[in-house]
Amino acid sequence: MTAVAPRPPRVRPAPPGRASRAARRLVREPVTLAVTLFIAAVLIVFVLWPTVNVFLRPDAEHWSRFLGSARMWDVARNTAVMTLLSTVSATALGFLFAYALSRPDIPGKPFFRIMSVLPLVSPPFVIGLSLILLFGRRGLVTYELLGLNLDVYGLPGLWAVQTMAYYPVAVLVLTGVLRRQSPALEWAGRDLGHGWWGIFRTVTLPLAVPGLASAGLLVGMYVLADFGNPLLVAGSYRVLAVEAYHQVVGTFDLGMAAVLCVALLVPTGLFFWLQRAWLERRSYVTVTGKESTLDPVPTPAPVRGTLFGLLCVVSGFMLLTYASVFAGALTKTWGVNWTLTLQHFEYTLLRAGDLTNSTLYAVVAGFACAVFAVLAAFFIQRRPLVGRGAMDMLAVLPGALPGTMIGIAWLITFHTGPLAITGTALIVVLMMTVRTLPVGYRSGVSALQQIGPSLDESAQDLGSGSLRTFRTVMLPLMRTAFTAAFIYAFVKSINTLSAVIFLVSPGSQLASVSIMGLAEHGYWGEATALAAGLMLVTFAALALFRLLTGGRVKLFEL
Amino acid sequence: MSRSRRLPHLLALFATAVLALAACGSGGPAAGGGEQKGGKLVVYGALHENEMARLLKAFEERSGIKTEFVRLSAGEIVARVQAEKAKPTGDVVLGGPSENHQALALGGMLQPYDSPVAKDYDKRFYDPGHAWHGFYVGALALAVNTERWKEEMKGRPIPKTWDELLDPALKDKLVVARPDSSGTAYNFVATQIFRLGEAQAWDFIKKFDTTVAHYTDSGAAPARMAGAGEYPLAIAFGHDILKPIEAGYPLEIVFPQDTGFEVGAVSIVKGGPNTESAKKFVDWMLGREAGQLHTDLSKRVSIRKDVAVPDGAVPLDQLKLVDFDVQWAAQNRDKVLRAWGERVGG
Repeated sequence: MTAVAPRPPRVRPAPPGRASRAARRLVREPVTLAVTLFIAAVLIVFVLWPTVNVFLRPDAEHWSRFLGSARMWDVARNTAVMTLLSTVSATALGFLFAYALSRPDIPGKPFFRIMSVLPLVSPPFVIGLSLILLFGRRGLVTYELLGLNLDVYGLPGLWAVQTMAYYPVAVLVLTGVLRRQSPALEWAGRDLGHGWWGIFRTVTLPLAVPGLASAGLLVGMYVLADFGNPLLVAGSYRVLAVEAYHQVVGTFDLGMAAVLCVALLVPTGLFFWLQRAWLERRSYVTVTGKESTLDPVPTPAPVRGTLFGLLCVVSGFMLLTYASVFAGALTKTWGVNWTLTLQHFEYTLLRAGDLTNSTLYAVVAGFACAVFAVLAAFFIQRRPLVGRGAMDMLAVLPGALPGTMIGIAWLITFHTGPLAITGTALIVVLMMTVRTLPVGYRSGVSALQQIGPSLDESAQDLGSGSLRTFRTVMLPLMRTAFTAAFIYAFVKSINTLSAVIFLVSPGSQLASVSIMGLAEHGYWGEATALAAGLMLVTFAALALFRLLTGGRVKLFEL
Repeated sequence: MSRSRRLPHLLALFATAVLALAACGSGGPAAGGGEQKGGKLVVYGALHENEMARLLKAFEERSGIKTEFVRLSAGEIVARVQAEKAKPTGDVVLGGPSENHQALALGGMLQPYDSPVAKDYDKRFYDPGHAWHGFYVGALALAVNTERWKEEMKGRPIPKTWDELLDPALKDKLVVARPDSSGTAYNFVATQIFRLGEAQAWDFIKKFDTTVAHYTDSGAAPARMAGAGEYPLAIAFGHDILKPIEAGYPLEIVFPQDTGFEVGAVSIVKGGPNTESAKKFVDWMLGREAGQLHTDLSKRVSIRKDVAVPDGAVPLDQLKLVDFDVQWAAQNRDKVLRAWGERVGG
């Protein structure tokens, strides 16, 4: 024994009899046990097991081949450079956009807000597709209008695409942060004699630093995991996600693919952890409960003009992007023959099964995600039996895993062995459910935080079992969280590509995967027509949900 | 409270979706394989997406057998069938150079089937063991975008041989596919080996890497990219160049001396879920009706004498071809791909 007594661990002392109470509840409520076991089983089988397999699959030979290959180091370096550049630019653009949106004296905000959300509800590679159509070697803007010969394939093109594709993520995080900043601080700065720039530099920006870091880390995770855009526009600039994909489809070298996945997971996991740490610290609190009724300091006209101009340029670019997809779908041969045609849409009808699959699977996955997420949130948070921390972690873990990695992990795990379900529609739907679980679970947890435990306890005291309490008391109160989880999971699932591309089979082909295949073969007309179809279905579904929920549930503020 | 009425709506929506999914799913391939009555024939195809869709639609109408397909490049199909060896989910491999089919046959993954339709076929066009049957032929060619070439190369003559492609002035001017995923590109790499011998071929391929701007997954994509003017040069099979020419792209086809060629084949996956339907499909695919439809859609030269050679296509007997050893190409596929991965890697 050492002389120094260890510091007592900082745990709350358990109230006396707590363990025995839990034990008694177990006996009285086998339902709780059953549901908890079910939740735990799902999380272990579909989250933990595949993740562990990625680490177990490669042997020493794979690792030495990876570490000894100069090319792989190039790929890793490329990935790092891409992540750094795109994250910084997307976060910076997102900050400017969010700052403009948080100023009350900038006109047309509802429109700009919708523009900034569009990339989040459309397939992630649409921007890459339109970049080629608009700014490629034979792009409409660069070649036809400006007579330029731009080579978009490679890092510059990828950088531009990812900046436009992921700045909305930063906008989402930062509008919240900037809106919470108290105007009183700005006024204080002004009373001390600062101009707009002084206030911005000494008040607004420093207060936004934690938000910026958090947004940057989130954007970084998206960029690192991006698969569709690099596949389309990176050309010979190879990045990890695409390289892992080639290891699978080209030679089915799952060991090497797993090594690349681990290489991809390390930085993503780090970003994820850091981001959560930032979010939990929140040391720069400006919401004190004493809400200020002040209006923000007016923005000087030149700044207002500049910001408005910026919003117009970015939104105009967004509009152009989407317009080019629809134009591409209606053009006979892009770049050569600009005649209008419906022949590509006729082809879309031939592949209508893919669109139906995408929609159907996304609806089922959306519902499964919402049910499971809310159930898991309630039982993990309010009826913890054992391993609450571990289950909580597993429920949010898929959010930290790049799509490519989950896809390969599932291929390794469910291709053979006790649960061989590859080649079925089931695995695709399960994948969509698990991928969207973290957001659904979090919205369930935050809804629970607003519901006092006393309600729950009164129901119990009146003799209601866990399931009944959940159904009659909690579920009605968590309905908003439920619907939000459903809509989010639907939108994400219908557009998802990076993970499901490893799991689709002829019977469960998805529109997003087909679009990618068509685009990769240079069938721009067919690819854009199918992409247009997919976007129309998504937007129609969003409109329908809005109608059904009476516009109460806001997804991405849309 | 109007809110409480929303949930039933969603529930109804969900129930409908589940029912529809169940209805769809019942026709899908079941795990476990084996012969199923009325199951959908699952086709892994290396032909173009829309060719596949139209061919299979015609087969469905003719036979009453329902089909499903995924479009993958030939090398990707090889990887997929190999990966599924223990539990095949595909029935038919449609299209792609025969060396890819032969590689699968060597691994015992194809079901030999002596199709009566192939009785009077030339022996060069099918595997002696009937693991695969050819239905079209094509030679590797260089696609030159004449407009872009004029713009960029200022009066330089168009390259006519493989070796001229090593010219440093052509740095980053050409697109070609990756040999691991694309059958076309593997055919190209094998062609260099047959033309130069192994050691010198790797020298060539390493230098040639400088000429390549980037490697695509699909073998036909480079022709379309050159067609769209993204690059002045591409390597692809002649028919894949003919198609964009027909679509209006300013391309010219050059068949270099000692070029490689493919016998595009169809084969049956051993142990697939619908082997009987697969045999019917192979019979249909090798017949005249499908041969004509396929050639109309794709501009590929059919091996059938009763299907006319499409306009602009060059029959193989008019070309100077390399001595292409399908057996060697199939046997050494893994070795060659590994060597390529180490030296070039895309």
